[in-house]
Amino acid sequence: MYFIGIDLGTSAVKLLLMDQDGKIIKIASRDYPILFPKLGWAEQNPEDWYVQTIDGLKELLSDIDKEQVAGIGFGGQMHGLVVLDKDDNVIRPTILWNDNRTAAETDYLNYEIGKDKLSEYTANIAFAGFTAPKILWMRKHEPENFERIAKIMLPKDYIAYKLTGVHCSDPSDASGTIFYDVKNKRWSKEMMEICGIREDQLPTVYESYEVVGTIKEDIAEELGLRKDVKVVAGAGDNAAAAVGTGTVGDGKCNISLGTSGTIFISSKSFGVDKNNALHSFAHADGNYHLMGVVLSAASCNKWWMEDILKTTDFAGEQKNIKNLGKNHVYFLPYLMGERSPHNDPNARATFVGMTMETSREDMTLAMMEGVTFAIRDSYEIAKSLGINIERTNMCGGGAKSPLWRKILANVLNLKVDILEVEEGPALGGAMLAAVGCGLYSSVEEIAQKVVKIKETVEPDPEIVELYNQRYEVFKKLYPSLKGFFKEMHID
Amino acid sequence: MSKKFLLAVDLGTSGCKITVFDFNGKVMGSWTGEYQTYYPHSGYAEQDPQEWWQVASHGIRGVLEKNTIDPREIAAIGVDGTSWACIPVDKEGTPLRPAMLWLDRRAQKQADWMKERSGEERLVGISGNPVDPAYITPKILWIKENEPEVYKKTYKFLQSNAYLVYKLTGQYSQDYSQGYGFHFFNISTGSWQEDIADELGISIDFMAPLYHCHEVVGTVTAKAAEETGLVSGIPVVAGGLDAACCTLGAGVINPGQTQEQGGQAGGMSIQVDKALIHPKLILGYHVIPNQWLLQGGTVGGSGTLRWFNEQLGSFERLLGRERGMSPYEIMSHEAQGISPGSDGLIFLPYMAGERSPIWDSKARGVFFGLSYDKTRAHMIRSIMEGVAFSLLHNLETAEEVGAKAQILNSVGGAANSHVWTQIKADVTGKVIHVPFSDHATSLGAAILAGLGAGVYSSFEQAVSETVRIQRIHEPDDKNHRIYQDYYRLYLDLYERLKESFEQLHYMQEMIFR
Repeated sequence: MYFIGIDLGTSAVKLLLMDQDGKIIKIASRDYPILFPKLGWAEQNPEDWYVQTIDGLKELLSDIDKEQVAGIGFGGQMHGLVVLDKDDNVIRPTILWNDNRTAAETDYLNYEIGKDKLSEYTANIAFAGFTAPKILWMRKHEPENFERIAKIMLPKDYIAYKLTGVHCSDPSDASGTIFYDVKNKRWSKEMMEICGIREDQLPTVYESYEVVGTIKEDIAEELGLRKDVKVVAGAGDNAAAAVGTGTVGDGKCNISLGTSGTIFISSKSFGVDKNNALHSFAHADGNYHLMGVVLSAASCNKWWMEDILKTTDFAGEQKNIKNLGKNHVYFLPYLMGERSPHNDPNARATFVGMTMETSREDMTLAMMEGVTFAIRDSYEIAKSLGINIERTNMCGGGAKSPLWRKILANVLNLKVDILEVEEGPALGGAMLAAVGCGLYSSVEEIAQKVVKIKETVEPDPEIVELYNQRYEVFKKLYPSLKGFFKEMHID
Repeated sequence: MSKKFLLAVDLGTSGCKITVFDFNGKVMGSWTGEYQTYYPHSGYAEQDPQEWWQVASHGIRGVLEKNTIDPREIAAIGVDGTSWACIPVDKEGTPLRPAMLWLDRRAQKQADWMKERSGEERLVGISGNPVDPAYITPKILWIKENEPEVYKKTYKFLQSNAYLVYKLTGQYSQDYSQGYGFHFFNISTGSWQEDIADELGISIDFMAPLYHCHEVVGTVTAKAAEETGLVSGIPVVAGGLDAACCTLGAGVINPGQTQEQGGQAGGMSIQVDKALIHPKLILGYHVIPNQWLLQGGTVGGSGTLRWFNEQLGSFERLLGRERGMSPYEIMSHEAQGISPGSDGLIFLPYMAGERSPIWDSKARGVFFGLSYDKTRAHMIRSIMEGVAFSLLHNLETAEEVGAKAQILNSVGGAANSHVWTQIKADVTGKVIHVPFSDHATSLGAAILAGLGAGVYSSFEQAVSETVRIQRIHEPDDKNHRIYQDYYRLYLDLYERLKESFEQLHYMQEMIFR
């Protein structure tokens, strides 16, 4: 039996075929353009997603036994606003998660409605990329379009809608709208009122692994699939990726050091910290998760190596680095401001502590440690909410560096697992489909079966102690400079 | 035989440089030799004065022979030396122990005692200088306490240049410019303050007679002639502090003129015509009678850029090799392409702590304001700007006591960079003259010798005949205004990070204890 995972990404859709044991059979992908109609704007045409998804599916399904395909699940880029009119026409291109036009609307939500109110209604605060500010923007700047809205959905939900005709979403993706009440898992009445929308415009929320319907007949025919292929709701890309790495159930942790860095912690109980430093979202396994985002992670390394050191030999620069925990240089990794936990767009990266004896290696190590300390900032908040974590996965580009694995293990005092397979949200989507089709009783069960550890890095108590002390210095640097970042920004 | 030349002996920390000039300041020959610094314990730093003499006498002979200079044509000799060297000698002028250098920090306890005994403010008020183990007074007290047999045998305490003057002439001397090494030297009146010396339990008899720096102390003895290849009878002036000689050699002879030093470390000396004391700065006599130098010393000189080159500059070194340029030329070129303020990147150049005016040994280097659009060119320019801010910080501090710098004369490696010098002009808002200064310190000593021998009738004449300006940098008003804002941020950044520096310092101490 086969399951299809569809990861609707920002630059491409990735399609993955998995068998019932979690083995990956085949992968295909199709690109589509991002439109930048104005500086800071970013849009895509939902039709492009659909056309390319169908095209990619055809490649994925060529030369396999199509009768074996039982289910389809999703992971997808979050927050994007898809709006359809009463005839199911797309009203305007989707405003994407990385679109920056909504600064005024975000400020309105955070400072006029107030963060405390937002947190009370949704368990989160507003970010420019989230969905609610986009709706407010549309209401103000495109009132005639706003009036025509019959259905609101998120990017991956559009594909589900096209495949099944069911207007659906899931809790993990809905959490990123900030008009979803995460704690109680329902659309927030207060937020709907603030945004000027009605519940009948919003999708029905299914658990990520729940079947929303079967594939439409004409599509099944076009693709050569059975007519009873089930479609599950799927999840937002972070939650879907977490499923793929087994970060489900209680106290599991996944750290990804990609362009940005994320620390994703699954939990059976709902929790939110008092400063909303972490996103508190519903998870694809039916429970909850916390997530911290470090805006610049492996990208710090790339910038340092390529733009500053002018080298492409990343491994060569790292290979002579020793003395973990004894570095005297510190780095704040805020190359483009910071998300978690400071939520400060004005923050800037800073090296502190150089002496005439400081070496190139010390600077490189400080950069890697700085990113890792920033991850620890989020980790500490999760711990303060009573979540007990014993080990973490590590993935993304940063995980390729043996040095970075060691730094992470010692800075967090956690065992760091490197997984055999790193296929991101598409794998998670396929796994959710397998649960939906009844092959597994829960997302936790399939994760236990499918996810395998390749290598584990253990922390060294002596180095852990040194890093605890270094972290004490690190964590005071941001508060010392906070006002200064603001002052500098006025220039 | 007519006199044609002046001979300068420059006694530095790492070595000794002998230079022969003609009367127009042209270098006829130069020779450099090194000697060892001994660090017998942590915080101790010593050299053997007899080794100085060996190296110097060998060098004098070498420079004469190599350049076929007839010693009879030498009109006079000037010696300059490092500050705060403490050399106890007996009646025969023999050193009783190695010289304790300016780097030597062993006398902390004695310095603390001095503050307790005579009051810090009072000592600073009289001497114009902080009470710090680098100075000679606490070192004398250390010898008294720890090496009583040396102390008992001591006839005079000499300083670096005075020791070599003694070796050349057999005469003891103490020049004015080195007087600031003693806290019982009244910096305002130029005389020994006996009550303070008494209080501290040091006899004034230890002090050699005071000389103006250009005054002849004696002539080369037959013995010295034999050891150096000189001829006896050549007049030797008292000479002075190396930094002050460098200031003279850079053409600073009028109040308000300021020497700006961009060597490994940085610094500035403003010439003032009265004793203006600032607790955060250093005040000494200039080598010109009745003139003073108010000095600030910073850690950030060209050394910070050298650090960047050595650690992060493989790109410039490679490009330099390809193009036949020095990496520093390439760096200057890169810095030129970035606008003033480095788009918000600020560098604190406190990479070995900072000396004046903040005197914080725990301060550290910082690059603040990095973002994806920042390049290494930004980092290079920010280093240059940070060093310029540390200069301005000292100039502003000096202004608090009314010492106003007019024109800056820049010397040292950093002055070779047009871009860096222009940044300094724009940051400080001052006109900068760049003299040919490769030999500025020795030239200063030679000018003193020339004045002593009557070759020149005045400092003005001497400087006008020997010091040449190679470039003039005018400050740009627009850039100066931009830098005013960045300078405030630079000061603020340190204040905000001060506590973290302290925390960092104690953590490092704990790790490496």
